[in-house]
Amino acid sequence: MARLNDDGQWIIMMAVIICIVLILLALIVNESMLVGKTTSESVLEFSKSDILDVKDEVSRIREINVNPENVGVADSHLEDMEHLSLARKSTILEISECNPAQMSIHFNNGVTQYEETVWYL
Amino acid sequence: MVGEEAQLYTIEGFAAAILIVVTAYLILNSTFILTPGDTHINDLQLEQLGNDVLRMMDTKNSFDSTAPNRYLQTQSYLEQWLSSNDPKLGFDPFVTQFQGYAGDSRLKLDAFMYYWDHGANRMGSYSLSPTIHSTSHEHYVTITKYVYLDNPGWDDPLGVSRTVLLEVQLWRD
Repeated sequence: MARLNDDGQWIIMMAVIICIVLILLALIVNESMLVGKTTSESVLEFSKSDILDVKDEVSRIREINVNPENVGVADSHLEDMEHLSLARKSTILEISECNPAQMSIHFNNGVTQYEETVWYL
Repeated sequence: MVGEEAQLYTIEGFAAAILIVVTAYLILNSTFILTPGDTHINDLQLEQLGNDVLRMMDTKNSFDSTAPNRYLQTQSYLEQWLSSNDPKLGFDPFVTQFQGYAGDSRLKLDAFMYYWDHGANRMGSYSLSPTIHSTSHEHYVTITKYVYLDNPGWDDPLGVSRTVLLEVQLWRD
């Protein structure tokens, strides 16, 4: 074996350690990017805003037509929502007939299904 | 005979080279390149912003106790705008207000209103934005809001109470 000059052992050792640390840090950054992407994808896919919007509108329809003689008007509004939801958003929306005490919502857009029954006190 | 005096130096050189290449690969790999079909993070933020703004616009600031009925007492900006005789005229003020709420004057909008025609049993639509003759379009997101309209002025026959779907295309210029 060749006779090597072994004066700088510590320097070389530190270089190796620093390299390994750099690799680990790069790995962490790499993973975090992937996490951000997949998270935003799955958040986009979940129809949170659509469901919130449906709930908002149902409660608005109920609020305005809380008088029992307006049930027909409220039902026509709910029917509008069901038709528009299927036509524009490919979402099946079924809302029970307007009952000021209790309303149920069925929401299904092929990916997310949501059921809710609201009791109004 | 080949000289073999620097064997260890050579091995060390290889090891260092591999370390550097692997590190460089990982670092370069970590940078994120956004292509037009791959803008999920931006889309997510824009969609959330748009939905929040529409939600604010569909909520009345204060209760108007002088109005004759419950609907008018709590009529929101969107309900007022879309009930007018010709909502197209109100599009520019709508855009200004939208940009104000969002705090971003670079936002551009395109809006449609969809309603259900019970007589013909089909969907009707109403374009709210002026026609744009453009050949290309920035990447946009679509946000929607159901709006309660009581006796809207554009309706034929008048006197119908209906829920319409406001659909807004939103992009940054």
